[in-house]
Amino acid sequence: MTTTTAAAPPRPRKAMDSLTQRYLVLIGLIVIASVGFSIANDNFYSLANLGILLRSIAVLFLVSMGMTFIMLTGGIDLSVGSNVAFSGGVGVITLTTTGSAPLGFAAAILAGMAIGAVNGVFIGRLRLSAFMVSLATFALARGLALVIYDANSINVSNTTFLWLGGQSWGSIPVVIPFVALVFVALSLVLYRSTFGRDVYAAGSNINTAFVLGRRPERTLVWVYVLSGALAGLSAIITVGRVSSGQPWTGLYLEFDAITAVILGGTSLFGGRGRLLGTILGVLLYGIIINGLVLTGTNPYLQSLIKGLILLGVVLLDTLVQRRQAQ
Amino acid sequence: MTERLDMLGIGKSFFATRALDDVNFSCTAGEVHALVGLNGAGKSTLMKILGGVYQRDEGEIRINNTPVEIAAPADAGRHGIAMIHQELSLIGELTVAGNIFLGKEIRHKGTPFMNKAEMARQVRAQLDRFGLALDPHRPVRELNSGEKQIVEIIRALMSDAWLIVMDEPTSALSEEDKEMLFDFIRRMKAEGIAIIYISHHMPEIFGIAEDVTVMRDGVIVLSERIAETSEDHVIKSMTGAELDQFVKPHKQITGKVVLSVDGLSSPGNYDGVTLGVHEGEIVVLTGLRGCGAPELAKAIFGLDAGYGGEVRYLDKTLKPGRGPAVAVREGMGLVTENRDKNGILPPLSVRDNIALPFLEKTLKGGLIDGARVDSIVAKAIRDTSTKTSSPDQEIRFLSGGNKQKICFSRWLDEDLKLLILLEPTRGIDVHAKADIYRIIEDLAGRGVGILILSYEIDEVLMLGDRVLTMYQGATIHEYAYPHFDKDRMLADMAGAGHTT
Amino acid sequence: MKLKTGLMAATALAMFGAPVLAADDTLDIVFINDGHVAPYHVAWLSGFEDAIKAYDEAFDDVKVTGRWLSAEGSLEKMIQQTEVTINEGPDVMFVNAINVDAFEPLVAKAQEAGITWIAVHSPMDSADYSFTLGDVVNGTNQGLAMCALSGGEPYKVAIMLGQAGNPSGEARHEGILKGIAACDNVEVVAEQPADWDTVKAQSIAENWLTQYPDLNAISGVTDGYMYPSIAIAMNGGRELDFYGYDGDIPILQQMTDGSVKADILLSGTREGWNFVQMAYRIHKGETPDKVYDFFTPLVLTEENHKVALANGFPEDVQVYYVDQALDVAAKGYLEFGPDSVK
Repeated sequence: MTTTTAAAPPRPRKAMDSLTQRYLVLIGLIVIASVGFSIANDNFYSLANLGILLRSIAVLFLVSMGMTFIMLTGGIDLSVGSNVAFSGGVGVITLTTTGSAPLGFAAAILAGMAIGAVNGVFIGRLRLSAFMVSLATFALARGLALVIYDANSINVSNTTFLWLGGQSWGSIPVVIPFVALVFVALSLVLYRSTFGRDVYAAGSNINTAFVLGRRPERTLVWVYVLSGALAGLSAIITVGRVSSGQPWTGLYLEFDAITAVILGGTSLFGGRGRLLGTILGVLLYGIIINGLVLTGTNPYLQSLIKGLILLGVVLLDTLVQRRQAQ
Repeated sequence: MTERLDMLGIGKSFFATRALDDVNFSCTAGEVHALVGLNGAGKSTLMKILGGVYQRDEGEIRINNTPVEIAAPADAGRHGIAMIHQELSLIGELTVAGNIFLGKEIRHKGTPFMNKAEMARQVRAQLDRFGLALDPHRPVRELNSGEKQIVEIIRALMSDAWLIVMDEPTSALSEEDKEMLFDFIRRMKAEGIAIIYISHHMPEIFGIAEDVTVMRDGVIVLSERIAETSEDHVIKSMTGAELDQFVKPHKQITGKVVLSVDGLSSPGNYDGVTLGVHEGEIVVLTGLRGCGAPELAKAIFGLDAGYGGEVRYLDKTLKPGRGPAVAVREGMGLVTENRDKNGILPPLSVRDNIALPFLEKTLKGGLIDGARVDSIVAKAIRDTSTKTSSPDQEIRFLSGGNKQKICFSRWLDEDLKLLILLEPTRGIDVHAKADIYRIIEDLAGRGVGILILSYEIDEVLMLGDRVLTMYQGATIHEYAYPHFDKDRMLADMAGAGHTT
Repeated sequence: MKLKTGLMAATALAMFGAPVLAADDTLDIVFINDGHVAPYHVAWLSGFEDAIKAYDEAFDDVKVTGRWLSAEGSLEKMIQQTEVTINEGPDVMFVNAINVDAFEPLVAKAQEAGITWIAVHSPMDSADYSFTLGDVVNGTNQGLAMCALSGGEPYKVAIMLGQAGNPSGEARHEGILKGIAACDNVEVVAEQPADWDTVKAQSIAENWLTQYPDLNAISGVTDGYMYPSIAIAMNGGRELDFYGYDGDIPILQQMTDGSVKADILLSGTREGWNFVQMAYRIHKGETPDKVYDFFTPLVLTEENHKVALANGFPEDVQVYYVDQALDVAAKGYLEFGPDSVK
């Protein structure tokens, strides 16, 4: 193909890939939302409020990062919220029976991984639909949580166990640097390990990944196990936050996570997306929720506003991509 | 009245790239107009403007000298223009008649129920008109690609199309199906249908077309009556230069056996196949579609659901049902016949597409060494002369030939011992073809054993050090270079003298 | 830029658009609830809103403001909303905690910030006050009414429960069973949790009517269950008695000549009004009981009350007749309006 070199300078828009564009849109929305809310309420920018905001989305950060891995493979995990309740239950019961916080941590994470492994084996090995399988484990894990808790909450007073979710340094909750650490670790896994590349490959075209000898069926199993492990970690943080184990914890968490991941530009069909987008998606989501509470917005309107934002960002994105394709 | 299409002074730019410049193109009812050009020459863009997928920047489209606007695919349909796509848009579960009447079903009067008998009758009338033997009640999923194409064309004709655009219609067809299609095209001409025929194949074009237009770099470089030009002239116009002919280098096969297959059988696919591939040797399997050769080649690689017999590779026995990962780890590679189904990773970059199979070799301290990957990828792109704006380019934006080169380039690593190629030049242009033949010979020169499945007899003769003909899952004869007998090979493939 | 100025204008309007009174004394009340869509919740929250407005208008010396938040059943969300609210520093907080233990640290934090914490429904020792419903007592009254109106013959009843583990639901259940235990002709043939969900209640009611052809009554721990149950029985041509709980107005309306025999007059509207009245009283320096019981009479028709008394129903149980109950349920200010504290 010839290019006309003489007149038209290359347009910068062409050079920017669609994900970068999405991130700029998200950052723009985050700025607009924070400015708007800070005008409406002076308290928005207080250190205390920022601490509250970040702490309240710590769990969503973790779960959404796991969900990003899964959606990069073209899958979905509806069971994470229930899994947070279940693995928290296993952790708290282990803690109360053995009195050992490390054993409790290990039990919670292993329990989360176990539910993840069930998802992974059915989805990766037996090639069942991720939606169907995780819908089943969504009910199953919640049921198990209710059974092991006997539908009652269990109080936790072990300070070691509560430290991660409950402790603050001044206004900064301990959990925030922890989440940042997990983000760095997961970024290394996703971008610099062969497993991370296999995640993208499995989501791009599972047949090709198979032909190239990448064993995508194994990759899928491990992706769901990873999401389960993050659910277990989230369970520990949740227990620390509410200083008790709760059978109904994590309700609708999976939908918040899916919303944040989609906001962050990860494709529902797999193979496209980055962790940074998810982080921005969670932040935007968290700021909006926090701001709506601060401004005393009618709760009947809150769902509506969330839905409109999601629809708006997705629409904007599609329009931009269509124009680029033309 | 004779219908006529004129596209006048058409221009189109994508950002800074001029895709079409002052293109004039016409066609008349009752004639076939061949449109040729290398990938990226602008044929598809021109046809997408005609089909309402893209909007032209300049120029005019006239039908019977009346200017028309084609702003959407539906407009094209309303003007009687039908595009027959390479990716067929039929619904497998519906019958032939059901597909043809999809969305405009005939109903029993006054009821919501479909009148299947009437629809089948009308379809049969059309099929008879063109001398086609096809049962309107058959579900489309049972049809082969040639028959599916016919269903698409009939559907277009029954919606009053007078202009049919066919894009590489023979790329997935067997020899018999090609004949059936050409026959159909001749009958359509006789019925006063105009056809735009996009193809690279000179014999096809010179067999059925009245006019030929050659495009290169977005402009028309040749437009002639077929009778007044020659194959050579058309090819020169396409490439803009003398076609650098690929010449098979002379060589001696002295290396060890890389692969030996003994009595390999899978019911319904292949039966008792024995063959061997030496280092540096190119072994070609050939036959008609359905001869079982692709299944055989895939089984050797590890894409199988179990087989009898033995596959020995580098003195190790490979078990059935193991999956391809085992073979890949030991230096075996495969280029599949269907790039889009299982050859490429569409949303990923060229870099990721190339690097995937050998990522483990770039690890440094457990992490991927980006610089190492970049240098391997750069070399692979260079070695295969793949055209891409950068390794970060998403592979789905590349042309078919460049995608195919990437499917090759990911295996060009020094540990490669055996490369299996299924229809390596399917659907790519002459330039890319020559590049791919050269890559294959280079690899063989390096000592890599190569097993090719090809249905194109000229390619078979050009590439093979040894050729095995197959018929109904069994090998018929083995020919060693230079003792090739084209007529006997064709007879083997067709099952001549074969007793079943 | 246009968007931004628009936003600023809108927020400025939200801040300063409300009528500014000359009052220097302010009372800011926040009510954090676990939900906002069930019929009871809707009545409750709108009663709360109306009462805020009425008190603000009735008293010139205090500017009364308030708002409510809904955690939509999520404990984590409720904790976040509570944290944000404490940071905002209102005067009084009503918190209907999904789990009281989880809120202990926040109660301390709120009190440190000088906020009066009123635990709603589930009492908390650490809270300044607890606003309770007397669920066990009310449930017992419902059970006792069932005994007194069953007529001495064998009487089969099925009970629809709340969500597993919910303290309020379990207390009501306990009370109902205690009341029924007073006589030996009433037999509980089935019990099932319907998770406060009307749709679930519908399918449970359908199952029961098929499974127990001789069922006499359905009892529920919320009036939300009564709507589908009454409809299904009527469509099936079955004559069943219903024992409700909540005092929803549409259910109360079905008591005269209807199949609903007894109800507990919580009434969301009344409760919303009572919150504001309680907050105002505290603000004015009064000290209500640390555990404040919401006044919740039993509702019966006058004839039924007489029948019940004749059958040994205890005379000291507070009973409202239907008209009176309807009146106070619709007009929360009759009992808890500004006039009640003037």
